[in-house]
Amino acid sequence: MENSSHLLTYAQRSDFQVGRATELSGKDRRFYRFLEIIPGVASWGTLIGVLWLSNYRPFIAAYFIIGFAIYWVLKTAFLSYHLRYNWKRLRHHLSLDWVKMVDRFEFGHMYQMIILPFYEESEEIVNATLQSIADTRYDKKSIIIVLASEERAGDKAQQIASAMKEKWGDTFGTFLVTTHPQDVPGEMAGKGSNASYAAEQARIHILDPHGILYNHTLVSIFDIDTVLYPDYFNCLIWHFMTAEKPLKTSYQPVPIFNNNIWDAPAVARVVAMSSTFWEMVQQERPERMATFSSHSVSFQALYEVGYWQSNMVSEDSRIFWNLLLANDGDYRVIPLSYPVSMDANAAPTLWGTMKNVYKQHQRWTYGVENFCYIIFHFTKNKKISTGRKITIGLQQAEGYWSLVTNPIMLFILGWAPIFLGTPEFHQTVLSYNLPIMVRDLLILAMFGLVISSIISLTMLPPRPKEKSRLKYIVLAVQWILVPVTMVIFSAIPGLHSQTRLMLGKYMGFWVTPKTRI
Amino acid sequence: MTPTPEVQPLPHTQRRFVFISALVIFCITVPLLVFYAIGYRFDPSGEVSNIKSVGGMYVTSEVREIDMYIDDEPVEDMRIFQSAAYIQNLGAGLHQIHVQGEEVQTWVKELPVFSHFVTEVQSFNMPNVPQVRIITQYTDIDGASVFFGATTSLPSYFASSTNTIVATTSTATSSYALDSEYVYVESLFASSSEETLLLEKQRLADLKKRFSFGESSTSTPLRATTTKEYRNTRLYEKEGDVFIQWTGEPDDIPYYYCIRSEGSTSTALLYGEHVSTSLQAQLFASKEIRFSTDSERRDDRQCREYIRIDRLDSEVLYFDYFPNSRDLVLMHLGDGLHVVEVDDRAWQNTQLLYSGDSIEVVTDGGQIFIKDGDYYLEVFTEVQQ
Repeated sequence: MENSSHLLTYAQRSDFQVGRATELSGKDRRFYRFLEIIPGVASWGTLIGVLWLSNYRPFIAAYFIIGFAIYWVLKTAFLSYHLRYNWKRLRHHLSLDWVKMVDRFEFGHMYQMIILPFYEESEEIVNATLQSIADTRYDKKSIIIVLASEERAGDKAQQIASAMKEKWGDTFGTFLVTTHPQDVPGEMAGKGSNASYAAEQARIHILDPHGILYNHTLVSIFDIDTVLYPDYFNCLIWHFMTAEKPLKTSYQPVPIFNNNIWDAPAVARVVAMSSTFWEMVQQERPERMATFSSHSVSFQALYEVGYWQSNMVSEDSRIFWNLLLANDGDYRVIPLSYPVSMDANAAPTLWGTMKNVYKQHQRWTYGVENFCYIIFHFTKNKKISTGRKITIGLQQAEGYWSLVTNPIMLFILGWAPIFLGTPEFHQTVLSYNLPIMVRDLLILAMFGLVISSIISLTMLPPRPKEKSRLKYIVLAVQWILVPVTMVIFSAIPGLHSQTRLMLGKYMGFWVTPKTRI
Repeated sequence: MTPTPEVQPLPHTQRRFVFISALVIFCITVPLLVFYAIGYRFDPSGEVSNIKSVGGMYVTSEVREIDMYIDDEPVEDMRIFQSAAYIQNLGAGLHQIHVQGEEVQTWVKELPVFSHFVTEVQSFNMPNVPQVRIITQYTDIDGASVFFGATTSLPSYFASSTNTIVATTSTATSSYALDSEYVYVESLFASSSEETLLLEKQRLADLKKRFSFGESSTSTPLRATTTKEYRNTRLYEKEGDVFIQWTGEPDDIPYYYCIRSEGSTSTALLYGEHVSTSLQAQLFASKEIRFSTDSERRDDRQCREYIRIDRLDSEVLYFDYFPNSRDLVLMHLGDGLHVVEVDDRAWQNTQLLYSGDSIEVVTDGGQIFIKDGDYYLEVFTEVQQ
């Protein structure tokens, strides 16, 4: 888009969609590079610091670890409280008749544009998503489907797109297939570049020719494995109509990774449900929320910032920060507390699953690149209040730091003073009491997992006939894996991502293979 | 009426209340648990103060399925996967620990516990009845050891043997196979006799030195052929006594070489006169002795380099490390083979492993062999199932 007059003033800056330090020059480049280094240094510094303390100041390390274990127990209780509340709200929202809820509004002028970026996923997966959209209780003629394929995916993807258009073209108001060209200079191959291209194509070929107003179009971008619940669009419309500033708002559903939950291995199930639970917790504290994965936003808002960034990995959350900054802080996320179903990350083999889960979480945790972006632009945008900048900055910093350091400190380094401490420390009651105390506190924190286990059972799709009832027991007990999954599939990939960013070894977009076993 | 979702997002005030409550709990709990972990306890019956300081004792044992008693009270909190117990909440002072079990000898020790510190100790429990395996010169076709005797009944001390023995009055050996292990063990005892001779020579040299003038004495032992070394320790005989010496890094020294004390009087009271004497002797001895200066009073402990092994006022006929251990020593005394712990705090527990006044002992590759009369036996240190 060479003409940038439609962009909001702040979005017209040349560095507005910066993806990494190397795209800047001079002082800005050095500052951005400094910001890229900070998260990795903070995390490594913390972990090495705990080891150093354990070795040279074991008493201080022991006090710190006891305090940290208590903090963890309280944090678990605090988050469990939010989780349980959101679970109640989510179930309530599922039980509501949203058609009746939106009956009072005049929304016939609204269009639902659904962008479905896909790569090499099977026809079965694409078809299931379109089927679920067709099954929603919403006027299909006001739904615009944009099936966004990739040129690099080859002929097979084009054949699937054509087949889908032929099958579903008449069901929806409009069905557009776009093909994102490969190797566009300045772009990173990935979901963001494909979605942006698709949105612009939809504007050119559908909205403008039909005179559809951008502020009358709600865009929902869904991963290709997303299966909608019947009232998603009614729920979305209700929240859009009741929002204080509907065009200055993104709408976030709860992604439940349970399409294939009965077939996925235990590790994949626990990791997937943990991600869901984290999003549920965030739904109850929207001031800390950014958009994640599948979400909805007005076309007007997207157009004003130039759509999703095409030069970085975590475009799903970056679009929120783009919108917040471009609107000088006057932007927010409204949690829908209404689910969309997606696939748990599963491969045909356990090892393959573990590799995929690791890579997916490495990609997700590479969202730390947003920290640099936010802080960089907070120094540039003077219209956002200092208080808000500090709050957001600290929340983001704490989030990325704790994601990496907390599990490792708790489950591994909690025992460091015992192994590394001085002989003087080893003779003390403190040295003997430390592992007992940490163990007991972690057991106490594990009660939070009981809540998780119960909630996860209520969110299961119907049991396939070939699956034994005993599997419910496995699904309940699997949560004891959490200490392991937190370290292997959260902390370590997070540290990996931060280290890469710190060293300037920038990541590319890794497409999660969608496999139905 | 306008329909709205009944369940509203979590109100901010409610979230703030929960957050502040958690913060208050955190601020209260952290100091409480830190003080608890350090070793402070609330004692409402305290006369001077309601806060008392405690210490602990950590007792390990090689034997599973044992019972521990502290001051005659059973210890309940035994570790699951190892025979160990961390006994908490002990007041400062002397505490007696008993470790006993079925078919094993009882181990007893009295040790001081200091506030905020843990006293470590390792027990050992040898079998009550010697656990032996007879090694005969011949075995029959089924691999059973063959015993040649005047009658077909076996001597009583063969009763505890763990292997099958066939007794015969015949002296014919043609139907039996020569046991290669017997030949090997026999050769071990042959070379052991030569070593014993060297031990005697060493002893004579020591005696000569004692009555000679003008020679500076040194605390460093002569490296006799009887000196044995294992995992940073040296076991040797000097002037009829057996000593063990720590040769590793000071930071790695086992706990029982060191004592926590504030003076020689209290050392004698808490650990025994012999410990106090040995500590003083090493503190004022030659500068060559390591751990001897104040700077090497490590973390409020005083450590010794040497510990004398109790020989029960008997002549030492043979000594060696207990198999795979630097904490226990095998001592062949006049009445049999004993196991003595190196830890001499309070006293050194000594347990009889095999009795006999005319036995010979040799160790090889973690096995203990005894020649009792005409027979060779392997002695086990654990009760055989």
